[in-house]
Amino acid sequence: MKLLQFIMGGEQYVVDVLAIHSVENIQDITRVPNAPEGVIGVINVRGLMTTIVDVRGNQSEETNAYTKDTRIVLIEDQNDPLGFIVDQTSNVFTIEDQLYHQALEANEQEENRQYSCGVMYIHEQWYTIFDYHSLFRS
Amino acid sequence: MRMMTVERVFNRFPSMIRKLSKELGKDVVIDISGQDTELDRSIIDEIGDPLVHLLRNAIDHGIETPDVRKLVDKPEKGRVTLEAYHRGNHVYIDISDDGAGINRERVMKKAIENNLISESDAASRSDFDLFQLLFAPGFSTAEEVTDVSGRGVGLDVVKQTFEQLGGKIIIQSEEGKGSTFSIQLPLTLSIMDVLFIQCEEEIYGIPTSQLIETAIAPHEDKIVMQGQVMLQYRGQIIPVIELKEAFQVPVRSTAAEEGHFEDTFTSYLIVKHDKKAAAIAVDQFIGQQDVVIKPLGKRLSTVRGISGATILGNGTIAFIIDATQLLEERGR
Repeated sequence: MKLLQFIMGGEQYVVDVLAIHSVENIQDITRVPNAPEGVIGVINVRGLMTTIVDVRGNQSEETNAYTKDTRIVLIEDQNDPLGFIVDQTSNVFTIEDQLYHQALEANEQEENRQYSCGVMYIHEQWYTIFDYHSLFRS
Repeated sequence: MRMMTVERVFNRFPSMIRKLSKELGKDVVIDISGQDTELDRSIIDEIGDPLVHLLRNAIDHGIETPDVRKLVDKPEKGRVTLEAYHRGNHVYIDISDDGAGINRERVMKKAIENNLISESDAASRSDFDLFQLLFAPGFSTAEEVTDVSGRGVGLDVVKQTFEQLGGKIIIQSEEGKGSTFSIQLPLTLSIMDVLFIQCEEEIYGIPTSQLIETAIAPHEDKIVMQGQVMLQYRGQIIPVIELKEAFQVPVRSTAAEEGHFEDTFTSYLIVKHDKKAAAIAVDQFIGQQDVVIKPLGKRLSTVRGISGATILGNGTIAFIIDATQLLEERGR
């Protein structure tokens, strides 16, 4: 299976590529008045109104500023598209399915941080497995 | 998804009403308007039967016989109106009659008999609250059960049908003057005539169906009364809603530096809902256009004051203002 690597709030994450709809360059995000917390706006992705959330968690505006590396990762859940901001994404790893499932299972007993459903050691670096389901729950 | 006009459902009603009023010995005319209102086809297919039910009720329970009407100084011909119209994100269908209206005492008695409410509860309820009990299962106040209606199955099923379609139904009535059933139905997708406006750097649209008119008024027409900014408008005063405040639009700080003088006139959208009018202050009007309204998606469905969005010619997104919600919010 393949995992997309990305950096969010200074930390390394991976997420199953099959969950990803696309990765977009940062573009004009239309502000939503009276939006719920976390929602920074909407963008038009090929005619589809897509809500964008920012869960990077940094409170300071400086670290949350967009750079040339900033990307929007789009995921889709039952025709409800959603995008989240990441600081950078550069790699796709190919790994054994088994390793991924082991990491998820090992995690089941753990006390979970938000947006995390496990950790993995790939190419001599630790990654948090991004729990994209929690984006839809919040 | 396909849009269809409600005419498809409405066009069989006139002959039905004629036949029915003859059967019941009543003299009734029906006024139908808004036949060209569009709804999603799947909704059109479902609303026929419940509407027939409501029209039958109006004639059977609502409209009095000609001799009774004569006694109470009403024209002998009873009048039933059926009106469909489009407002905000919904289509509304109102069915009214100028008949006897609903008798509060009878509803109360029946509701207590059926254990729907307690006696003390009943007395404290407003007419409006009490009348909604007519939609409870097994409720019928017709003293005489006829072939047409009054058998106790009915309004609850009607309500259920509309709710399954994502709609709502309420009843309003005044004894001696008649009753109105108001149905609200969702649109799902629609093309609307929208007026675009600008507020600082942001662009919004408002459906022209929600607008009474636009106005450009000098600052002197604005007055403060009881802490609320009001606009003197056509001999009345109506509250002003600043869109910038309602939507927390970021203010461009450079305006003063660029040497802009404060305008001496303000542009207003005059809107009205439920007899409450208001003037929404905006920076400027852009223009009118037919656009496809897109829903906002689950997580933005609760955002106040916005009913959808549309994609402009240059690919940017403009939100559609729901003036109804802005007015309600202000009322609170």
